[in-house]
Amino acid sequence: MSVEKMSVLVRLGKIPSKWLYLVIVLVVAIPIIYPFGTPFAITDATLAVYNEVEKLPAGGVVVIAGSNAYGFLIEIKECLQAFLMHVYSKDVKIVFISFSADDAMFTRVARDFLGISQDKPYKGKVYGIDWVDLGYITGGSASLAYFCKNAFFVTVDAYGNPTQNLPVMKEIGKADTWALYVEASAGTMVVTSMGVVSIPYKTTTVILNTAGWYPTHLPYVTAGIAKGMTMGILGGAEYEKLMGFVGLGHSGADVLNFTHLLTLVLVALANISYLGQYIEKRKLKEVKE
Amino acid sequence: MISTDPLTWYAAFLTLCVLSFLYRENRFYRFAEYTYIGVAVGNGFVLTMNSLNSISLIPIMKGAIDVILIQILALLILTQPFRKIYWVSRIPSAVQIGVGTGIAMYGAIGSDIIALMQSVIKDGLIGTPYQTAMTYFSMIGSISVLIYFFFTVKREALRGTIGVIAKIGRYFMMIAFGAVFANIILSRSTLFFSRMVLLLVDWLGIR
Amino acid sequence: MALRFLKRREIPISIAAICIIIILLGYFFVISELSAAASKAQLTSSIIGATAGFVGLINVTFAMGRRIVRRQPGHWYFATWSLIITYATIALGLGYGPFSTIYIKYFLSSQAPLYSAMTGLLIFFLLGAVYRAFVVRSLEALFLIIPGCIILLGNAPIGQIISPVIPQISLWILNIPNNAAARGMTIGTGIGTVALGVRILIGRERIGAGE
Repeated sequence: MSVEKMSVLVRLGKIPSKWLYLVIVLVVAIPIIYPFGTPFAITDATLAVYNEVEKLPAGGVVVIAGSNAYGFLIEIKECLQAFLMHVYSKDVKIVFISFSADDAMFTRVARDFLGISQDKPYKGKVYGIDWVDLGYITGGSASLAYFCKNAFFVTVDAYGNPTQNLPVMKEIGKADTWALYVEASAGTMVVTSMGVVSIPYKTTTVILNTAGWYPTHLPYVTAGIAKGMTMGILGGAEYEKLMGFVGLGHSGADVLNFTHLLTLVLVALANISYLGQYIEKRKLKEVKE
Repeated sequence: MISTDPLTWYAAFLTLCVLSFLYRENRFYRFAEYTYIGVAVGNGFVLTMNSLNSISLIPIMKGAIDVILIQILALLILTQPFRKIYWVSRIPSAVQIGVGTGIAMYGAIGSDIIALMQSVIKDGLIGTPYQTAMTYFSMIGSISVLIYFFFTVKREALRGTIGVIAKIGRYFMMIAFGAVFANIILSRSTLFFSRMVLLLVDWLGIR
Repeated sequence: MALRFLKRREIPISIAAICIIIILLGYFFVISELSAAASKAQLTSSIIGATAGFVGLINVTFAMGRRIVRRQPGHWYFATWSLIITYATIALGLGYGPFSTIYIKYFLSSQAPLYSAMTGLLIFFLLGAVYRAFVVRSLEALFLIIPGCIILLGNAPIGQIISPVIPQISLWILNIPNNAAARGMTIGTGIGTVALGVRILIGRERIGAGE
């Protein structure tokens, strides 16, 4: 191989950052403007979450808890929306509780998108009778642990209504009576909820997780502590498919094709460049000898 | 059709201010940074006050003596920003640390240690030969990773059997980090995708 | 004299240890008085957390105030803006309520896009780092990069189109070796958490310092 070709190999690893950033912007923008509609399969983990909702007993209590920053929660927005569409179609009581300020706003935004509000019924569910939003409660794991024993320690809901006056609150007993506990967040709160809710009370748990934390929390699913777990926007796309509609999750799946292929190309370029540098060094060594 | 909603324009402006950091650190990015600090602190305070009202102020107004005493203890934490009386805030902090650690310890024992250790051996005893082989492979992986973190063994001893097992643990951990890397790419792509949706769809109305 | 006693480091350590014991006993023993004590401790922690919201506000006000008073070049006017926006947000939130339509719109047009954009920026630095550093220099790097690339391809829907074997291999990597390592690390974290708790219980951990 000539020296000139080797220089090209090395140069493959020296593309300026600004060109790379432009490529990233294009790679994300193009599938949004021209959706490709790439087909995808539904994974067992997402199907497990779907099946748990299908199995919910009539009158059961579903507690949807979450924490973390809005910037990370946005990844599970599509999944949460499809999940809410599913769970609201069941004859269950739904409780929202948040352990971070951002999550309280996030779940409200997700519900607003579907048209779920306290002012009018959604799929026959009336606020205060069939569902309630308890808002943000400070204290993290301590508050979650206390909530598992006594839901009435939250004296007003997110809208300022005294919880004593809401019929749905009387249905929320201790955590061992809940039909389903949904951890819609990421990070350390998932670990906390496994130890505070799922293990002591043996509550059926599912996790709507972000992609980044998915591999780390997978042991809880294989150990049977959590029955299922969705993965970020892909989980959202899969849940949308299970619910039979095409939402933003599908567009996200398109974008993932491009960004993942770009990542593979970058890894290949970096390694080709490294190989080029190695060959150049060997040649120089031979020339010196 | 380009959006006429001023709030959408404001959101798009803020997004572009943040993305301008890709060129270099500049005043627009700094403006976005300080705006974020302001809004985040304000929002956090508003929702925290909501929570305080719910779990403390309303029971106090109903005459719950225990909550009144707890709230008096909690007020001691307000001395934290003041250097001369900062030591007083150690008391409520100690309560928080103690309660949090107790709950974390219980959770760690139940879910992280016992349940996961049970799952290591659970499937290997009943299953197809492939399932059994995979379970033992998985068991070797988990044990070797645990041995890698066994730092009470002297470094010299690591050259022997323990060293070999620890090295196998390292390779398993590298595979796990590779998996995390792949999923982090997915995660961060999604976050940027949501911003591009705001800019292209909500603001510029391209689609 | 009493003040000097209260300033000693043993006081917060003892308080933390007592709280740990109460919580653990409340979980492990089904005795109503212990359970009630544990519940009260948890409620105390929640209320302290809520009250600490004021501390955050005071600290940020002091931090921004210092920049304004010292006229820190390039920062003091932004700090002024930050303080204005902080108190405006508080006024809006406490006035209209955090779940009012106007406040939600304000949140969606300010904090939501800002945080999302800041976290979304990470993809650029991540891919930049991948381009510069993801090189197979050793066997360990090979074990990092190859499974990572397979899972990347398996996660993307296009992986299924290229070959149905790719998602299967990706799933195998996630469920077997990754799971094994993650389990080991989680068990290790659990042991570390228990060890830290024991250190606090026996007073070996300097929590919140002390004299």
